[in-house]
Parts: sequence; structure tokens; C-alpha cells
Amino acid sequence: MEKKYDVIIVGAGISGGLIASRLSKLYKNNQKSEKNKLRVLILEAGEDRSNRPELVETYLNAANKSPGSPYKIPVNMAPSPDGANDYYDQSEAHDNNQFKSTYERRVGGSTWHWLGNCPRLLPSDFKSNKLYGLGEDWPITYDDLEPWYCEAEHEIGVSGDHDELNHSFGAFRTRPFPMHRIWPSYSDIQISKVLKNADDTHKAYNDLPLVLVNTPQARNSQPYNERPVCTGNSSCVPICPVGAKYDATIHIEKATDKKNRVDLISKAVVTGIQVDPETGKIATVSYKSWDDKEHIVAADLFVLAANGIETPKILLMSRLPGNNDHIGRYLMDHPQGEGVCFSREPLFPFRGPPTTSGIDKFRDGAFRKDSCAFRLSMGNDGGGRTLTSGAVLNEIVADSFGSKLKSELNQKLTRLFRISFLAEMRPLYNNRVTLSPKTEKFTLGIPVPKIDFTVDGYTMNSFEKISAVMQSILKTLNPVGDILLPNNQSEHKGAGHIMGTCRMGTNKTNSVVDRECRSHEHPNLFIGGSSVFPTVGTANPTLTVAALSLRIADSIKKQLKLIS
Amino acid sequence: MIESFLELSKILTGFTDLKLKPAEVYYEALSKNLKKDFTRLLSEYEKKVRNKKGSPDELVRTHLWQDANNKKICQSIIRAWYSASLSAAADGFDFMAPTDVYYEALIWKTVEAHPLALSGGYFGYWRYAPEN
Repeated sequence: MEKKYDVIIVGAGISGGLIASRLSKLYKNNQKSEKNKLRVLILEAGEDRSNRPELVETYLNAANKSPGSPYKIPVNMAPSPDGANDYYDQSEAHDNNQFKSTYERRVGGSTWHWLGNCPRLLPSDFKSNKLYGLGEDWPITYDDLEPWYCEAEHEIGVSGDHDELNHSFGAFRTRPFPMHRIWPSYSDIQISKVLKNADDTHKAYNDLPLVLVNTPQARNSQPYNERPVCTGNSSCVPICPVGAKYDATIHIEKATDKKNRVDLISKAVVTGIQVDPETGKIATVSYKSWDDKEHIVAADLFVLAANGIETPKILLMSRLPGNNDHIGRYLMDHPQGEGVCFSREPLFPFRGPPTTSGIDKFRDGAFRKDSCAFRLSMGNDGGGRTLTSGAVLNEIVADSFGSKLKSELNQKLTRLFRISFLAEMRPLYNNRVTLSPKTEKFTLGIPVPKIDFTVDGYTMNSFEKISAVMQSILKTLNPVGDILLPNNQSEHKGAGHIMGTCRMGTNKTNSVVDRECRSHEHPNLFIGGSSVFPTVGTANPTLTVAALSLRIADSIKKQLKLIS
Repeated sequence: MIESFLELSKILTGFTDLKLKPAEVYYEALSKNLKKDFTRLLSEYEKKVRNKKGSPDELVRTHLWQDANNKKICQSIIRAWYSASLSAAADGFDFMAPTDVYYEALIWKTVEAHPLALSGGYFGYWRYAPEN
């Protein structure tokens, strides 16, 4: 078969986009000429539709404003989950045995609807087995990744407070953020004040006040990379109407610039990768277009950057020699929950980004030997997913109308506040993605993912402590009425963080890829995305995905002996 | 009857400056889906509340709100104006107003914020309390 491409990347999300963008500038054969420019193909299962006003309109017209609502189309041959049971094959029996996170299969991937938070993992997160007996250590350290974190922050555009975060939990920073921090919200400022003066909260936590920390985030605090500044439209999840929040279409567009030799084929659902029996190397990738036609393309090197569920699914469908048992295993998320109350004083939510500050205090400590780390986020979006403005309206309209209703609604909604936790979970061997025996016509006969998932005692037993911390913080607001906490201590939601199904490690007996994110068994296959995470700490994964992806591009450059 | 609907809406929502365009959209949706029940409510409003002596709030409470069927429709009218949407579960049918009407939903003024996806603000406005 004629080899039209040097590299094929599967998945046009943040990982695929960054890798393609970097590779698009490289040359082979040690010659910087047009014909030696690297030829790259990006295959994307979903559609390529980035008309932002049209997507915003779809979102505003949707009765259910779910994360997937702007992106729904009548016929989608690469469907995306928008709930626990509309795509995955998984048990409906028990809440804790359900994987609840979703993603978008489209050019730009889930960065269309991501929140944009960009904390780094902590140095201890890379060696949590050694320190706390937790999971498996990464084969790289924070120090190894630090330059790539800096690179990623500049590449995608992260706003943050360098001085506040530098050396926090030992996480040193060698470069400042490219943009100053996103300003804290009115409620952040009020809550900081009350926490400073809350004696009870001090006593509960070693006489140290709980301090709000500015959240680094991939939204512009000033014009950056030809994108506008954030004007606080408050619809970041599921769509930024102005493009101030980073999404991966930016790097897909850079990669596919006419000057480069990068092709993008959307509506191309990969069915497998194949080995050449003579060379033993991965040689081709097969895919189906949405019209159900089959295609095969060849290349020298391959990157699977679908996501933590679609990537292992492709590997399992491929039945590659080596039969690595770890493919699809150790699926992790960050279980989430919320505490909600009506503050005594107005906090004026529903304005600005959904969150601008958090509490990092519980992200690390010796306690991780017994209970999970967690990070708290302060909401700017009222009652979050727990108590919507519509639910408050319904409650008041049961008995009131007219000026009484108007006044009560104003009183309540300007005081509605939520705090959220994002909890660490352990990698469990039996939390896994496999191929469902059910094939659906709407997926071109390609199996949907079967998911077995449970959150174990390490995390679940910590929920009581986390709720108590949230409650103590909410009490400082002198709330009116009850504080709403998760109904039972095991109730949790998904964070949309799909991690750990092709983990990184020292050898094939404990992992799928090596420290470069290269397959142990197949040296011309790399895996991009959070599926390579051996453990998850308490950082939203995207910045780490971006850092690893830039590092992968560098590894490919070395492996293929490319020049820039 | 649209005039009666607008007048009743002002009493029910507590807003005296309601606009005609959203009124037309909600009137059409409610009359199309609730049919005679909706027409009957407006007729009763015209007979028992409109241009009658006394507090409009009290007249509505006495003559409309205390009747279970009328109250339910009044609640739907309030939900329509505040959220620019109605649901089968609460209102008997699903309805979503067009975008320009959604931006006019009363909930935004009530929470002293902006419509989702349309802040019209400047970077960092969220640091301060709303001006009004």
C-alpha cells in the first residue's frame, strides 16, 4: 500500500491537535524543504462544525442545557455520551457502579465544553505509591514534566497567579503564566473575608485559616493568540460564545494551515490499527466513513489520541499481538459533589466564569495513606447542579406571585452559593473498558464501550470528611435555611475526567506505554491523552494532557530524526 | 385577549414593564397548548379582575389563584415569563422560547445578572456587586 503519510493521529481533540500542530512544522531527511515537510493525517470520528454562533443558538434553544446540548445533531454515526446510559453499556443497578462522565466526539473534542481549569499535578502525585502506598508511581517525575507544563500553559493560554502557586506543595514553577490571573468573583472576595474571621473553621483545621487560591484557567485575562479577553458570559460549560476559553480547534486550525502538509478527515470512525506481519510494526489504520464505507491508510508512526474510553476501545478492537492485559483497565474519574446554601448576605452569582477560586489545602498530606485527597472549588453559578434557579422558582411559585414572588426570588437567587469537591480515586484493576457485545446500527456496527466501574472505600470513606469540611465553610456564610449536602455519603457525580485506561509504566507487566507514552510492544505507536495517567491526584487533567502531548511530539521528533 | 394576558402577566410576575414581543410568544404557546383552559382563565380575569375596584393582587388571589385549575395556568404564565421555557412535567407541554425572547426572560433581571452566553460586560465585572 502506498504510504501517503508519515504520521497518522487518531482524534482531533487537545492531544491530537497539539501533537499535529507541533509535527506540522517539522522536516524529515535532515532537509528543510517543502517535499521533506512531515505529512500528517488526523482522523476524527465526529463532525467538523465550528460555527460558534450556530452552536450557541442550539444551546440556548435546548430545553435540557446539558454539556452535550450545543453539539447534538439528528444523525450522528459517532455518538457521544451525554449521560450515564445513553451510549455506554453499563449497569443501571447501582449509583456507585456507574461511570457518569461524558465527552464530545467532534473536531475540538471535549475542550468545546470543558470548564478550562488548569491546575498542575503535584510532585507527590507522581510518587503516591512510594509516599502513601497509593496506586502505581509514574515513571516520570514532576521535575521531568515541569518544563512541559510551562510550555503547555503558553501554548493553550493559561491565566494564573504565578507567585501564589509557585512552590505550593513543592510544585515549583520555572516560568510565569502567559497571562495574569482571572479576577476573583465578588463571592470569592466575600468568602475570603468571612473565612479569615471564622474562629471555628480555624480550630477545625490546625488553627490555620482556609485560604482561597486563584484557579489557573485556560481563558484569556487579556487578548492572547488572536483570541479575545473573557467577558464573563457564564456559559463556559458547554460553550464559550466568544472563543476566550481555549478549545482544541485552535491547534487543529494551526496544524491544517495551507502551508503545512496536514490533512484532517472528519466523520472517520477508526475500526482498528494493523500490524505488518513482515516487519512486526504497526502499518495501517482502518476506518469507516459515516456512509459505512471502509478505508485503510498507511503511515510510519501512529498516535492514538481519541480519549480514555475510545482509545482503549480501538486497541481492543485491533487485537494487536502482545495482548497487553492492562489495556482498558484502571479507569478513573474524579468523583464530585456539592454543598449548597443561601448565604445571609448577597453574593451575586450567575456572573463571570463558573469558578475562579478554590481551596488547595486538602490536595496533599500524610492523610492520603488512609483517605483521599480532594480539592474544593467555589462556585459562581448559584446552586450548581444541586439547586438550579428553575427549581428555586418552582418552589416559590407554589405559593407566591407578583411582587412577593419577585422579591423572594431576588432574595434567594442572589444569595445562592455552592462549593464543590473533586476527589482522588485509586486505580482499580477491575474498573475497565471492554467491548460491548451489543453493536448498534447507529455506530456503523462498531461496538459501544462496556464499562465496569466502582468507587472504592478509599474515596467513599472520605466523603463524610469532605462533607464536614464543606459544611463548616458554608456555615461561615451564616446561611438562611438548611445547608444541602450530598444526600448520602456515597452520592457522587462525574467530573468528565476520563483517565487511566492505557497507563504509563516501566514495563509491559505493569502498563501499556512507557515514560514517553510509547507502546511497550509497538514502538511506532504513541498514546496521547489522560488514559496514560497511572494515578490522578486532584488536578483537572487537561493541562497534564497538554504537557504530555507536547512531550510526545518531541519524542516523535527524536524517534523519526526530524528537524525544525 | 393579548391585552388581558399582558395585564394579568404584570400582576402575576410583579414586573410592570413587560414587553409585547415576549407576551405574543407566550400567549401563542399557552393558547395553542392549553386551549380552552387558557381562554377561560383570561375570560375570568376580564370578568372578575380587569377594571374592578380593589388591589389587583387581591382580586387575582381571590378570583383566580384559589381555583386549582386557574392557579396551575397562572403558575405556567409566571414560569414562561421568568424562564422563557415550559416543561411537560410542570406545565403539561414542552416549550422553549426563541433566543431573542430567552434573553428577555425575567430571571436575569431578578438575579441581577445577564442572560447566559450574553454578558455584555467587560473583563472582571464579576469582581464587583451589580451596579443596580
